[in-house]
Amino acid sequence: MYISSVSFLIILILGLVSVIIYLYIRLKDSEKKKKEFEGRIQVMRNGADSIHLDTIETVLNPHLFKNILNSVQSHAYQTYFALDKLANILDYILYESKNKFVTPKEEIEFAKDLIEVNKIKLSPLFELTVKTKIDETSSLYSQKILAPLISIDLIENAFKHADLQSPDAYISIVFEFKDNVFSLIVSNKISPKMSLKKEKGGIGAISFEQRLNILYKGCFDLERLIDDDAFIARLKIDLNEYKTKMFNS
Amino acid sequence: MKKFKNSLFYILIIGGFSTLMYWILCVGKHLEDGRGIIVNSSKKNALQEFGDSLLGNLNHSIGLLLLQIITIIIVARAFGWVFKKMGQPMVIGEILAGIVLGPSLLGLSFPDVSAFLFPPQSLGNLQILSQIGLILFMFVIGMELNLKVLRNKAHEAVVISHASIIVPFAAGLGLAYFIYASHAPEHVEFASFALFIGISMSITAFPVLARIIQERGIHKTKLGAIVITCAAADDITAWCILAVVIAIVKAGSFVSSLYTIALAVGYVIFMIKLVRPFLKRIGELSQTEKHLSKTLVALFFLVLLISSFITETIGIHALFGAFMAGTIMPDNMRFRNLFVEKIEDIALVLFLPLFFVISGLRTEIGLLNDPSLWRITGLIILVAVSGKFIGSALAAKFVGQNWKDSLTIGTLMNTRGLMELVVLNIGYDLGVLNAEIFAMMVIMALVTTFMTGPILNLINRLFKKDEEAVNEKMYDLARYKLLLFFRNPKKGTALVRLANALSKKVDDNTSITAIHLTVPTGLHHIDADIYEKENFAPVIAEAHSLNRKIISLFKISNDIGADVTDVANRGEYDLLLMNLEESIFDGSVLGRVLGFTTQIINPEKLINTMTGKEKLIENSLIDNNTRVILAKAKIPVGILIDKDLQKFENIFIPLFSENDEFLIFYAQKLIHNIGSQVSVLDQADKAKNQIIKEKIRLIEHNAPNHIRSISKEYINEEFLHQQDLIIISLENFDKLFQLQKDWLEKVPSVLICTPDKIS
Repeated sequence: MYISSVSFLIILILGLVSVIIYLYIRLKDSEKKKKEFEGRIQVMRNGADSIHLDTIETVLNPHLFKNILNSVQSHAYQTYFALDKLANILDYILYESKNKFVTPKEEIEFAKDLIEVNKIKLSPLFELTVKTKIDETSSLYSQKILAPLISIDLIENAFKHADLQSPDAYISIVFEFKDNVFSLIVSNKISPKMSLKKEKGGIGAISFEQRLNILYKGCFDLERLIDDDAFIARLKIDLNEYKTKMFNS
Repeated sequence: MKKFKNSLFYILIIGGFSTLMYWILCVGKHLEDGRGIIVNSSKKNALQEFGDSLLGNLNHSIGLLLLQIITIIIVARAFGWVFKKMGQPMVIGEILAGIVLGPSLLGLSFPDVSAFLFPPQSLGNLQILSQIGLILFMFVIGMELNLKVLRNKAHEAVVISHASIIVPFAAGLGLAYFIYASHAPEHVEFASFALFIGISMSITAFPVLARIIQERGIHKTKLGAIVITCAAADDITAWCILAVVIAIVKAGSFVSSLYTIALAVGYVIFMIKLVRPFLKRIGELSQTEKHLSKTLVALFFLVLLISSFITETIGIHALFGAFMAGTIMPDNMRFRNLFVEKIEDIALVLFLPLFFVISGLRTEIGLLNDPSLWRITGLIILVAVSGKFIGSALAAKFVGQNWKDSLTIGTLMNTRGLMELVVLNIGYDLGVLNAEIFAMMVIMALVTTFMTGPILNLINRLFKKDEEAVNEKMYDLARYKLLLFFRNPKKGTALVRLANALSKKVDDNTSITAIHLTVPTGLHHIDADIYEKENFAPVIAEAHSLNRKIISLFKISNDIGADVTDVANRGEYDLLLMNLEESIFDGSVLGRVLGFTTQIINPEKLINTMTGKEKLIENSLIDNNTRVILAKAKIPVGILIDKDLQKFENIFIPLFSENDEFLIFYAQKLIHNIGSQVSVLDQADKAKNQIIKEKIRLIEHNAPNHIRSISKEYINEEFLHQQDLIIISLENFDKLFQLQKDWLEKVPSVLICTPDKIS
């Protein structure tokens, strides 16, 4: 009985030892495998990084191109757009300004094109307000009675003198045709600094008034005023009065 | 578990006791034995019996009375609405509703309906109710009358007012001379008849006039002040004369009427010298309290009722007492307003239509079946108009008004409205006027009230020129003009912030006008200034804190939608920004389908829904007034659904078609003025929308990091959550919610825009 229990104990210990030895061998084995796998992962990672770098490099170049293309395309589009408007303007100057008179409708269309062309030098965020308040039922709206290019002076002036640099700059242009009175109001922010005298120019304003005087003597009203740092100009031509005068003389 | 316990307890207690009750009733049945009870059994079946009981209930006086009131209110509202749409005072519609329900139309075309709805024996109740309504109404009128105004600038106004009474009065006497023999009721002395015709020619309707003045926005001008003062003086004088006339008519002879008049004068002195100071003291004591205590209200009602009772007993009408009681109420503004508000709604909405119908029931246009009678009606109108109009216009010219103002005063004083009806009813009750003359006079009252609006328009058109030149400033024309229309003052501040975000940098070149309109609630006119100040306070404070200038515009309006578009179109604004109206039925099916909002019912919406012009539910987010504005406005409109819009950092603009191009404009403005970051979702046909693409690209080049295009997949709840504002076109508004149905709750503030209709 005693012996058998001792031999049982021995067998048990032997068994345990053999199990421990077996487990130890397994542990070593799996550690070795782990190392091996880690090494493999590292290799793969390195490979992936280099592949990624390759792709980034290949994407970078076209993206750069795409950006530039975008800019160029945009400019091209703007240029196309501006050229298109410019073509209209040219047409008008070539064929219509020969005539002594055009219809108010044509003149206003022309002026709008002119504004579009001028927009090129402005930021798209610039505060440019163009309003048209036109009563199309007015009888003289589509009659040839307005002198061509009468509106360009004021508009050109606004784009020339507006203080484009200041953040609160603006240009507002209002075309009005009501009761056969054509009026154009242009207002813009001007720089508080003294205007730089230029060598050339300076006859525009005078010749414009002379022209008006010859054409519409007594039927027009041109006002220019400076209010704080805003310049406002208004031209008003009473076409009804002009027409009656024309018939009576 | 607790819930379950409660339910169990509920079932046990209700079920248990129901069984108990049933058992008692069953057992109790045996007690009936030998008591000779006859079971109320009939041969009719249950349904018939139910029908009979229904009819019986209707014929019962209170049932019928309620039915009458329901009918009257609905018809009066409907007619009032029609006339409101025509730009006329609602009163005319309401009076006409009375006539329509009376024998002139309903009685003539549907005698059965008329006999069922207004049987003669039931009119007593209606009449009593309407009299109570009138007493309340006159009390309110008295309270609305600001005696201080009279004291301040009385002189001119009193001259005009008295001239405008004496001239038509004399004309009325003259008229009476011609028609007495043929048309006066028998047993009525000439003096009584003539005095009554005279007084009814010289009435001016203070409340109608006050409302017209407000609706036309002249209540703040000098002219408005003069007219109001004139009307007030007119009112008091006319009522005094009326009291005397009533005294004379009742007493039979002038000498015996002197007793009555003496008593009346004593009464007036008593009220002014004793009761008034007493009430004033009470008013001062309770000034600090926010609400009126019930005891105080009871006290004032007692004053009103006792005063009416005294005047009725003396022999001048109870209305006179009510009016008097109104005038002697403490003149503390806040106090009067509180009290007026309490009474006004019931008096004006519930009782006054009853009065109109009572008048209408008496007006039998059918009696005027002879051309000669119509000629006399015409004569009455002619005398009334010329007497009042010429009298007051000439007097006004004489005291130094210009022609335009004089004519306007004349026209306004010619408005007789329902005050005339009050006088006529008194005359009818006294027997001085018979049904014939009564009908003629009602027609006269209607005509003179009706003509006020058109004549004012005519005068304005005739004298238009000298006004316009002053107002126009060419500088203003060139500006970017924003019009903010707000209904709820607190919500108005979000509009100010939005306007600021659109134009902050170009302050010089922008003008912001805030407009607030209110429907005339009753007769308030004296406190319009206070109301205006209160309502504009948050908006102006917000503008102030943003360092912006703002112009405020306030108007009382019967037709808010039409008036807003009128201001917007005529003022040549560039953008109208507004809130949605909060409706009391918001979200309820009834409110959405029927267009029940703050108005009782809106026929326009019903018609449009029926004809399929509007989708039933989809458009219901946008309320009726806003729809009217959208339809009529010629300028672009932006409707803000405000969910506490504070900053403008992240903006989302979905574009669904190339028509949405105009939305880029707002992106541009927001980026330029307040530096927003805009995400644009472009769902439009890519092949066609080169312009949109180009615009975005151009802005991107000039302001990098401020605008980007995103795809539909990018939008999720988190993205929406980051946005401060969504800008979308009205046309494609519903598409936003088609993307995801349950967004309605989750979206931030939304600005729904319409494009410029002209260009």
